[in-house]
Amino acid sequence: MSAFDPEQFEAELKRLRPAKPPLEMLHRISVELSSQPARPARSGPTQRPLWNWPGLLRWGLPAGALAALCATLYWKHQATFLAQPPNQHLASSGRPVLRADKVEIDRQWVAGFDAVAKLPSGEPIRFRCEQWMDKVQWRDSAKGLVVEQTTPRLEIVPIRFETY
Amino acid sequence: MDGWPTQQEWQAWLDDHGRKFLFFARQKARSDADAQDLMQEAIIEAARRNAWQGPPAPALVFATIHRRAIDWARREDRRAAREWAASEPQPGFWFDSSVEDRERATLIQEAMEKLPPIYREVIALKLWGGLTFAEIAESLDIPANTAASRYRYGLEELRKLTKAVFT
Repeated sequence: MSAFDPEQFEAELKRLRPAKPPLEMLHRISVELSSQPARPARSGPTQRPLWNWPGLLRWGLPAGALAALCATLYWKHQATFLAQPPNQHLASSGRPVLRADKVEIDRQWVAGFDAVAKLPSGEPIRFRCEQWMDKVQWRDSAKGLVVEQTTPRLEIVPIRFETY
Repeated sequence: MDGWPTQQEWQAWLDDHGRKFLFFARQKARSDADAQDLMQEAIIEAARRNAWQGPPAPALVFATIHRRAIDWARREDRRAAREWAASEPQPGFWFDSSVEDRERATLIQEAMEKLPPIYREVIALKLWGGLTFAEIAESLDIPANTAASRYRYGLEELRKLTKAVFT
């Protein structure tokens, strides 16, 4: 066998048969296996009572109470909803009441300052902090409505000392 | 099988599979006596795990031998490290061999003993246990690709170690 031929090598190895265990040992195992205590009956799924009252009470009572609470809340909500005038129905139904024909987006600089800190490596680093106020304005000329939203914003920019 | 196997049926099943179980147990145990105990315990445990449906599948017995051997090693590591170091080489022959084949069988056994255990167990299960790579993977709790590559590397190692016989 000059070149390695795995299949031929496997065949050569397979020619050898593993040694048989001692007869006394096989006998001992077969006796032990056949004298095992009576195994459980090979019945199908274990039979359970149709109504498991303790289980039903344990889960059924809280579940029933929760269901009753949900039903009450739903009924109250329905009653309140039906009692509202029709206009409020429309407003709460998600239909748009504002038709913005002009939208303005603006931002105002409020303040600015620098802060200094150290990185875990010990290197100092400077932060440039700026406070802004973002503003969005929607205008509905037909109805004469103006909606304005302002949101404060903090902008932090890390600056290395070398760069700074 | 109808009903619980009789002793004769168990004996026939052991005649069919016993030698490959013992061969694998020998790869995992520290001595021949340990290998026999390991095999016996594993067969009985596998029969129990088989929910008394009759003789268990060989792959289940191999897996049980593997797991039991790990348990034994963990349990005995602290207690028997000294005994292990002083233990004699396994005296038993791993293979049935005629007088002409005795030398070859001995050399292969010695070569197998020199192989890393992770190669040895896969080779034992594939060549003499008759398992597929998928079954080996399940028995040893490793991916099938790992089983296949360990087999290939192990076979190459074994071939190097037995060059004197197979040239």
